[in-house]
Amino acid sequence: MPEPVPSPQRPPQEAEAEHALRSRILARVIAGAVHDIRTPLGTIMMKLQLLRDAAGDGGLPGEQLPQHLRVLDAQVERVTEILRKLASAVEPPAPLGWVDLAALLPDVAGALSYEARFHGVELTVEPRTVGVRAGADPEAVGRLVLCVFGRALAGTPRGGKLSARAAVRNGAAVLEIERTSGDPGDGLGYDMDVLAAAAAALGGRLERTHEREIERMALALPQIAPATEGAR
Amino acid sequence: MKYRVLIVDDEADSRDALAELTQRWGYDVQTAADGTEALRRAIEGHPDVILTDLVMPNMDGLWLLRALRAELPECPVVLLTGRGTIQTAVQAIKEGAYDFIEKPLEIPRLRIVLERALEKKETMREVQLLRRRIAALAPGTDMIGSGPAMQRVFELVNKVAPSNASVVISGQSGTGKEVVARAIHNLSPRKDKPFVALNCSAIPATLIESELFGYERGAFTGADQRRMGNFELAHNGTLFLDEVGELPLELQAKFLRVLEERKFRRLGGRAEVEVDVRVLCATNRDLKEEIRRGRFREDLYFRLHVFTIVLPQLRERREDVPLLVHHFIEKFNAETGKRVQGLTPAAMTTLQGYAWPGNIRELRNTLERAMILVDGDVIGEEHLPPDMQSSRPEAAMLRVPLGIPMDRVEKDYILASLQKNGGNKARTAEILGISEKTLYNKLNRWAAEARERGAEGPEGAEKESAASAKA
Repeated sequence: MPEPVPSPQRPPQEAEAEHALRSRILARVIAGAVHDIRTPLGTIMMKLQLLRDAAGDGGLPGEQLPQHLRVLDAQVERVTEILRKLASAVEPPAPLGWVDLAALLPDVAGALSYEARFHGVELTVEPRTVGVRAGADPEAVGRLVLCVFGRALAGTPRGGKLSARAAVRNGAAVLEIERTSGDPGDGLGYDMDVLAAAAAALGGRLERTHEREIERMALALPQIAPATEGAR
Repeated sequence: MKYRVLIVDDEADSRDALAELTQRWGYDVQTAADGTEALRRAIEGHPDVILTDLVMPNMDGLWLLRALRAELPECPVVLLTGRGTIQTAVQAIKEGAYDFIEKPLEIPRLRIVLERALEKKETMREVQLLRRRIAALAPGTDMIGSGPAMQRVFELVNKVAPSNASVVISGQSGTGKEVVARAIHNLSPRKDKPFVALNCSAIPATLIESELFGYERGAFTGADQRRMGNFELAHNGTLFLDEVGELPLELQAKFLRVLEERKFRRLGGRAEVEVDVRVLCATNRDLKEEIRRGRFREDLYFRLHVFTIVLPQLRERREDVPLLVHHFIEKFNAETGKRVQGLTPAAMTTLQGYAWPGNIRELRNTLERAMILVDGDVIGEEHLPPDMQSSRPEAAMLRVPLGIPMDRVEKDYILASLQKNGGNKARTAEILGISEKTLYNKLNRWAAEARERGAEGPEGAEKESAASAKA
């Protein structure tokens, strides 16, 4: 099995620019997580108050208890899932040394879903059952995917659409994004240059193409084919 | 009556839990899953308050807020959000949200915000009603009152205004005698001519003559140029003499002559000045009693009393307190740039239950004070003077040593009460349950006694002064 491409030494200003961009995206991810956790937490608190009130009134009618418990369970499950996605998007799990883009992409999209709703962007991620393994430094891949996705979302205008999928193309693990074009003067070009340099440093490439109001981005990274896994 | 609450949230569990909770608090609850549905339900159902999530599909909370401001401007909207940035909160309030609450909701706070929002809605509803009532009451004047006593006053004002008749307006201090005088002037054919007011009790007796009739240069020391008096200034218009009972007896004859002949001489002048002035007078004294005591001319009394309007005390027209409160709030809002909407029901109850010894003037001052103290847009009980709040215990105490004569106890008690009421004799008399006249008599008697003791020697005066300080 080929070893993941190690992250080479990069010019400091290039790494700093990527770091700054990631900080901006992370701030949005955290804001979204805060909102997404506060809502179920609020529901839990209201349900608990209702249960307390009912206990004070002499107890809850038997048939109502399961309904309250179902809601409480659902909220706890929701918070757990939000935290899992958040952890995955920020630091993708890579126990075998590679990152599965097909698994990472829904988590990144989930971590930024509140951001999409807040800015009125319709977000879709194409599900995929087969793994798309990127053979590069997992931490750097996670960082890059979050930044590319987050920046593409931030540049999509209100009412626009953004769809994404992970796929294997010509022996590369590819993240494909298609979105409604936004304001050309919003600095996306510069940020994409920063991210293209980061992709190149991982042995990959980031390409952008336009067709009328649609912009397509493709982040291609070295792939680790599933067949080679067993050889390891 | 149950208040109607509309809850808007795209999260079903959150929406249902909030609905269940508010139902337990006694509200009639409706729900909507997004802004579009909420707008439709709001227009159909006219809720009393709307609780809406900020981030929702289709029409979000801010869009809903804007749409509601146009459709239901009086309905308070409380925004709920999990994304509590200061910018969003500021924007929400700027757009007209009543309040902004972060998730997870602090349940006691939510309950308080709901209650206050509904209180504000009630206040605004009352304000609208009061505006309509005030507009219909006495157009063209500042007189306010909807009860039978004031309706009678409006009728009299409307009847007497077009004539040239002299009018005596009587009523306790602060009942609005000058307002009525201005109303008569404004509704008369003289309305575009001057209205000149003179308070006879506010000017030293020695200066009233020159104020009324003016003087020629050199008429007395310091008269370095001719000055017109109030009669000349009011030519073709109306002269209002407040506290006419204070007019010195020797001047009353000259005043009567002007009323009869419409001419007078300035002080130090030889030529007669002819004037066309309508005279309105006001008094809080019993002029018949003054005649009996020889302090007011009977012929002047009959000359002035062509028409009499008696103003009721405020405590005799408590139903007008809300109208007056609203009037003064609007006035002070205009003067200070504040946006006070009204009073809490408890504060209004306190004002309506108070005795108002100082009448409308006292109410006006009370509201001016409250408007200075209030930070929000609703005046509460805490903004009213402490002694007006019935629930508060009296702070002042009087310690009386045993073994002193009863008349001394009475004197100490009355003087202490007077001090506590800031020297307001009308209020003190009201609280003590004696007439103002009785209070004046007692004070005059004690003052005379003190003077006599002072004349007898310093020892007596010192004793008296010590007794007063103790009280």
